[in-house]
Amino acid sequence: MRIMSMNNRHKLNLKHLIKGCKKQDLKAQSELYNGYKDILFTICLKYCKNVEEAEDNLQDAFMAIFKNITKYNGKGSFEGWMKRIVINKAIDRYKKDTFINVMINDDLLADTDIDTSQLTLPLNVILNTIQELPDRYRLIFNLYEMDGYTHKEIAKLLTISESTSKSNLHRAKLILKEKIKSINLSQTANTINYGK
Amino acid sequence: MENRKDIGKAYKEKLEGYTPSPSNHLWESIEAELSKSKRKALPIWKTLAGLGILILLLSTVIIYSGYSDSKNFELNPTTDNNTLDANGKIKDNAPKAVNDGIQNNRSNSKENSIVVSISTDEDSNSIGNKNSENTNSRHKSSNDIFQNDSNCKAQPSNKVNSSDNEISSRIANKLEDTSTKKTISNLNRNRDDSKTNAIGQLKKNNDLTNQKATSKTQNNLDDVTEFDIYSVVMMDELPAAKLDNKFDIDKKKKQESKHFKKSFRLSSYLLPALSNASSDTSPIDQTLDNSKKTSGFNINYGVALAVSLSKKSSLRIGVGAFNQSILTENADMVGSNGSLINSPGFSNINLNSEATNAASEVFSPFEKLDLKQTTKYLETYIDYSFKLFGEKKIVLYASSGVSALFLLNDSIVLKDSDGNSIDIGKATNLNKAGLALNFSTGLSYKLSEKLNVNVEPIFKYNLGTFKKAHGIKHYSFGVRFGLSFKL
Repeated sequence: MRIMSMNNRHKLNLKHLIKGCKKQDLKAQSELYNGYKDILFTICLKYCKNVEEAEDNLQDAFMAIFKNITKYNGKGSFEGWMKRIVINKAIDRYKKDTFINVMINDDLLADTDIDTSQLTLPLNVILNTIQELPDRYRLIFNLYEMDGYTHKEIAKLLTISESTSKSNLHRAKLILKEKIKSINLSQTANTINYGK
Repeated sequence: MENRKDIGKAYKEKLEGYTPSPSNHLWESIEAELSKSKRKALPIWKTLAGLGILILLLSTVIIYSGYSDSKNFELNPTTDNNTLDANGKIKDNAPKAVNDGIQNNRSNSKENSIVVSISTDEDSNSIGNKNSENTNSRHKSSNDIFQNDSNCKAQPSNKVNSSDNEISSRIANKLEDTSTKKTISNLNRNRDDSKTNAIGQLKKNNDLTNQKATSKTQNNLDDVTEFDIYSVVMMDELPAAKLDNKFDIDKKKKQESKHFKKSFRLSSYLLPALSNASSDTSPIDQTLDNSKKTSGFNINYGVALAVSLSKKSSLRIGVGAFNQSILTENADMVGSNGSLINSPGFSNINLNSEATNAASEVFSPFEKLDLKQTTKYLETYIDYSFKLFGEKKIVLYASSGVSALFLLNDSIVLKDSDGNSIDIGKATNLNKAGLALNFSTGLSYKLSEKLNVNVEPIFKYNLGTFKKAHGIKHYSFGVRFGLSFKL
């Protein structure tokens, strides 16, 4: 009961914020920004190459949100609507990079599973491995694995074929696996060196 | 114990609770951009609205001046020539009572307005004008008969032979204004004196009128309108010599002031142009703000369709390719091993990953390079041109208008002094569409009846082609060379 009333209060507050943003009220815009900046920035970090570009993308996205907020009709989650804008901005930013139409080859047969113990790395290091992926792989990996888009939806968004999406995703996973492996190896080597 | 998972799922689980915050100054940037966009939106619309209003005003003035010229001509018979009284004598001024009376009467009578519409030609002016012409100016009335009324031309004797009473009663029935009735009856009373002359004149001009009438449909005699009767009444009063003279003058004047006819011209053009930016701000990166920028040269081309709005003005719609480029000289873009300096240096470039490797092979360490940014647009434009002077062979005109620019492609190329170059990527700060304001003056030379050659220096100022408000505004100056063909 208590949770319900809190949710309702949140909804009311959000409704009030959206109304204010539609009127281009700077205070409401500021509140909306503060309320969602962290969630949206995390998405930007995953989709962009580095922090600077992630911040640029977040700025562009918020500008688009404030500009288009009048088009939000209240149907569906407002957070989801904003997330889509952030993702679309990132896609616009990196879509120009050509996607290689790789058909099914030996790579696709390679295993993409990983021992979870290998991922006991700092989160920023793990994030860096995604950021270092080539644009096309990064976009597809994030869309599919992090944000739950289907290959059909990705193909439509990036104007590529489904098989290209699949093969690029697989390639991205292999690169990540390799990166994690090499980071772990270098850490082990460092530990041994320090030990000596 | 080993716990294996798909790397995608493992990443998602690992990063799920990770929510870092952006830098504190980000909101300040957003806030600044928000207030800028609020401020910026107005001037663009103001500019466009101002331009639109200017074009509308100019069109109105030019079209109206053209219209009033022809209107003046139509009214001229009452002003530049003496009017004739009911006895066929020349008077200095038209009798006001007749003029007003008939005007009032006609304008109040629906039936008569139909009559006028039948008797006037396609290009005629207002009813009031026509009425005043018919009443006050004999030569105008006769002109109408000869030129416009095939019934009268074909069967003049029928009308002239109508009885006086019949004519009077028909006119009197139509005209409610008593003063007009009086005037008409006065006219009829004196009609006998000039009747013979008028008939003679009518016959004399019969050949001419028949020639003019050939292109018009012969109407049935039963369709003779009230206006025909008016015309006959007025024409009856005309002295033959005066009629001849007037008719010739009118014919000449009417030919001279032929009404404006819309015409279309199709043209193709080539536009070599130099482009530059209005500030030193680099569209590539802030670190290049102090590097010297020079104009880039591009050849543009397209086709246009122009429609004349009046004798002096026309509207032109065109589509073409429009390219702009700016050269940043002596840029520090390569590091110690000849590879590209990634940061800072490329804040607005989506860097081509292969370019970094290629650069180290092509360029020397710390080599100063020239950086050329080229943007290719599909341009659609509309502009309004008005003639400044010139009549037959050469015409000087001025134009202003707006272009919509749709980004087709862009490239950023690094070039060294040996001519080696690498395409390093595409800009991330370009809008997909923008506007440009165009101002030009041109010279048109008539090569033949249908073919013209045009030389038109043009200035273009871009609006909103860049995403971020760095104050980057491109402009271009070029000369449009074109051939236009009258359709």
